Amino acid sequence: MATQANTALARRRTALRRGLVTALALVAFGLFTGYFREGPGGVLHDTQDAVGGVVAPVQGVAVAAIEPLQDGWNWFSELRGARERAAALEVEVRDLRLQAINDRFSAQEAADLAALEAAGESFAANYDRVLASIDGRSPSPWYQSARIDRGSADGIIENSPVIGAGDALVGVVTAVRPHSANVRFITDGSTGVGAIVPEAGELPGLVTSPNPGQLRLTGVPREADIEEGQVVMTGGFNSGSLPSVYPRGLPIGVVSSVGSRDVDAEKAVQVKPLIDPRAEHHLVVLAPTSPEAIRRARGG
Amino acid sequence: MSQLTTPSATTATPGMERSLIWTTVGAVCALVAVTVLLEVSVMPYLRIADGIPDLVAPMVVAVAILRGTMVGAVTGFAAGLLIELTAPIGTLGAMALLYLAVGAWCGRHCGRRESARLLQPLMLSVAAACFVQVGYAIFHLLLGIRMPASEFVGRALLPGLALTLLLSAPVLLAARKLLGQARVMEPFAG
Repeated sequence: MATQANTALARRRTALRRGLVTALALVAFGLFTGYFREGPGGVLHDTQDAVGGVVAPVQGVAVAAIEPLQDGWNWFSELRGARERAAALEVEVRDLRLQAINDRFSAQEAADLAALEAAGESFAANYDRVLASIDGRSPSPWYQSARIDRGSADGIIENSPVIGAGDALVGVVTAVRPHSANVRFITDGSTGVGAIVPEAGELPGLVTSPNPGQLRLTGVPREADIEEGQVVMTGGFNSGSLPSVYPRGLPIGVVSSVGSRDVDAEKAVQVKPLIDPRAEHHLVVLAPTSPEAIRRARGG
Repeated sequence: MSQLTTPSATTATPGMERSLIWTTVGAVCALVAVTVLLEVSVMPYLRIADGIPDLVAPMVVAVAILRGTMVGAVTGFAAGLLIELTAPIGTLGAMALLYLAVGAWCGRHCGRRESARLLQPLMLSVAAACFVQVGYAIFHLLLGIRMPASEFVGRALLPGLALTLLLSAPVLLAARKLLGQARVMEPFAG
């Protein structure tokens, strides 16, 4: 009798275990499909944005804590050889190192901010320049994206262009909360930017990221006079009838290689981005102010 | 959970069982929260090439081999969903499904003698991280986002797994410290 009871309980346990795992799998699958079916602005996207906004300040603290350590680690790596020669002066050197880490971090921060000081000035007629710090990055190589510490309270709206030093295009705002926003970099696989190469006659093309981290200029006919080293800039247009969210004249990158086969109608143009977004700590968001810029951001 | 199966301690009173359940719930919640927070805020900065260490895989593995399939599955689901809700990535449910599978499968190893050592959980952690990375890549292929296989393996997968191997031991040891000895937690235990 006891054995039968034990067997029945074991069966119930197994059934419950399998039922729970199956139910959770169905919920996960439902979330996955629902997330892609509803599109941006749906309940699941809003929930994700809301939770991200709640966690952003905590992430900001963690990032602020790790940045000096990162710089410190780089500094220690560079001085590994010198440390051995300075063994006799270890105590003094340690104090100097700590001081140097602080100085270097401060100097790097100052240099970064100085480089961004003039960014976007030529677009002041249509955009406000909002300096933002990156306080969260994608933990997946599939998404070249980040979270910044400025949001709608600073005038940022969805589709605001994001630039770095020298006005170089870095990405676009994809989600906005009052005090934070998500930025998708141009090196993300799902980004497309209407572009021109002014030195090659302003033929319109489209800069895409065929693989995360890389850029390619497409739509350029074979006869186009494109060469390595030429600068690719935003064209202010899109492939369809809608205006581009990016204003004309933002540098994107430099042509790194050009090629085409006899059977190709287009040139294969690889573009090296001017800025590696993964190395940046600060960015400038161009928050639209003029009706034209707002119309661009809203896609109409 | 009405009752608790405890392979090593069969004389637990109902009061002790309730206490164990709540201790486990608290410890698992703390582990999930801390691990996910570290994963989304600190780990992106500890990368080699595009490889980012996966702290969540060893945490789910540890919980699963210490508390069994059901707790492992729920932990994996919750941790995966929390990552997708807190990190700036464009999926919801995919990681929950992958970590759920990790937790459910690793729970089968609960109470085994080899799970009490460090080598098997370490290997399971790396295998779990590999499974999640490859599974996530397949989700992206289905969504039409491509990455050359050589680049994925060479720049993202292998460096990420190496970093995961390095950082798994502290996570596993912390989970053991918090959860104690292996006990399968399931309802309807005899």
